[in-house]
Amino acid sequence: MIKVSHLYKSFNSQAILKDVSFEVKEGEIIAILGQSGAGKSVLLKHLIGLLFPDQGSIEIDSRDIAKFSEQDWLLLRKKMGYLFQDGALYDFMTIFENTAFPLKEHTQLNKKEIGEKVRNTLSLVGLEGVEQKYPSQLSGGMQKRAALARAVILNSKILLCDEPTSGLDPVRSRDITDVILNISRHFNTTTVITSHDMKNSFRIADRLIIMKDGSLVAQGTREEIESTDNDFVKEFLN
Amino acid sequence: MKKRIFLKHFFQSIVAGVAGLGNALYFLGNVLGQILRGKIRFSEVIKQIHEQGMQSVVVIALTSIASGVVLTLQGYVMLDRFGAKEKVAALVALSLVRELSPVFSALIFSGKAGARLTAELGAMNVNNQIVATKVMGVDPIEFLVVPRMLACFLVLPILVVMSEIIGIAGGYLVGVFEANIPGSFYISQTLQSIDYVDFFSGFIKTFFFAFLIGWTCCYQGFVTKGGSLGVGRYTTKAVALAYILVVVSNTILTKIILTFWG
Repeated sequence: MIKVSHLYKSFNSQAILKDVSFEVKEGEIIAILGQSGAGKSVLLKHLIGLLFPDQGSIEIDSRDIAKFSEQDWLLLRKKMGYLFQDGALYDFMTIFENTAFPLKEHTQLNKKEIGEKVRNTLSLVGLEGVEQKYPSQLSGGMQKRAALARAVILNSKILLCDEPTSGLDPVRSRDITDVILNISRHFNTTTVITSHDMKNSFRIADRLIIMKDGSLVAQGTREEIESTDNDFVKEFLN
Repeated sequence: MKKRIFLKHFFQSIVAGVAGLGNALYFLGNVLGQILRGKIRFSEVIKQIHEQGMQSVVVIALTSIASGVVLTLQGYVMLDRFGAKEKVAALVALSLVRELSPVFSALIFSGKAGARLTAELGAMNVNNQIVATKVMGVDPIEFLVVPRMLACFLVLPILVVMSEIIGIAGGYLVGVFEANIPGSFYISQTLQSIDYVDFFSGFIKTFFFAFLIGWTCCYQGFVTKGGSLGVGRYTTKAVALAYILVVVSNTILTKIILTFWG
């Protein structure tokens, strides 16, 4: 589904990503873990075409995204959902309007169908009765749930989540990762999560990737990561 | 050494200025491209017209009535010295229609609606809402910028006409109740003095002002970075630039209009 090969990226001659390679299979949940500044968010932005690599390639559905036209990006983005760290909901729209936005833009559904789909998706993320509220009237965790509903409302095939638990307490962190797990299984999405929340990532991810200073230092299942000899990974896990 | 550092900073500023202008022109090209392709969200334009208009209308109305009143008071005293106090209606009407209302309204509009445009887009930018729009497969220029710029272009001329009417009304009050000029005479003097050239020479300028304010303020909002501090910095910069552009373009346009139109 997603294949990243020998990815390099620098900003002002400072290397951010160094020879990063990994694959994500269809329907899989992958968590990319690492300290702040390890290059996780930069890597995620490459997958949605907000940044482009200096070297290396990214293939999505066996197509090299470097060769994508604007139209290709538009079609791909309709199939992808992106959960921003801060939700990035529109301040001037209600939760209903925010969630309905992708449907209004990219589908021919009528008002009634949109309303039904929005309510169903909000219910999937555990948000009911807040449709007419504005994002500023909700807590951080609820905003992330609403942003998640918006990200998957087009039945996204790929879901990218940038630090979904940052800024949340342990209970809310557990809640939002459970919601991501449910959503991923419900829509059978291929999910890539960046995080430094080991506990929850270990709980929901099929495979994990550990990054350090822009390089990938380990990848594998929970058991494989836990049994690795890499000093950094051992230190990170403890 | 100091000279070398000064020259280095000087050339860096020039390069940054040229690059900034290039980016602003590219941004404008994108906006005009969307408009020419007919990608206009009319419901958003109407919403913006309402918001931008409502925000500026009270301050413009107050400034206009004050301008009309002061202009008539001063004009009446001056003209009375030459025994031509009945000409005060023409003086007030021509001053407001040709110059004062378009310029004052544009400056107030920059400070109110222009600042709002930059702050709104800037806050959306630093909170990733603009990137989110792109990620959702929607062009942020089409969705967020085109309606705001078009609304500027439509609202300011309406506000200017309103400002002219209110300013003249303010002058009328002083002329009639302070200078004891008969009301019907004041009105007929006003109407006789304003030719279509006078009205349009001021009115045309408002479209240039609206275009410059919309472009500057939307662009600065669109490139805002640096969190909440950045929003404040870019908003201040946008308003200052809009003021300068209005004042400078008014000087140039006035000269051109007077040369070719009289």
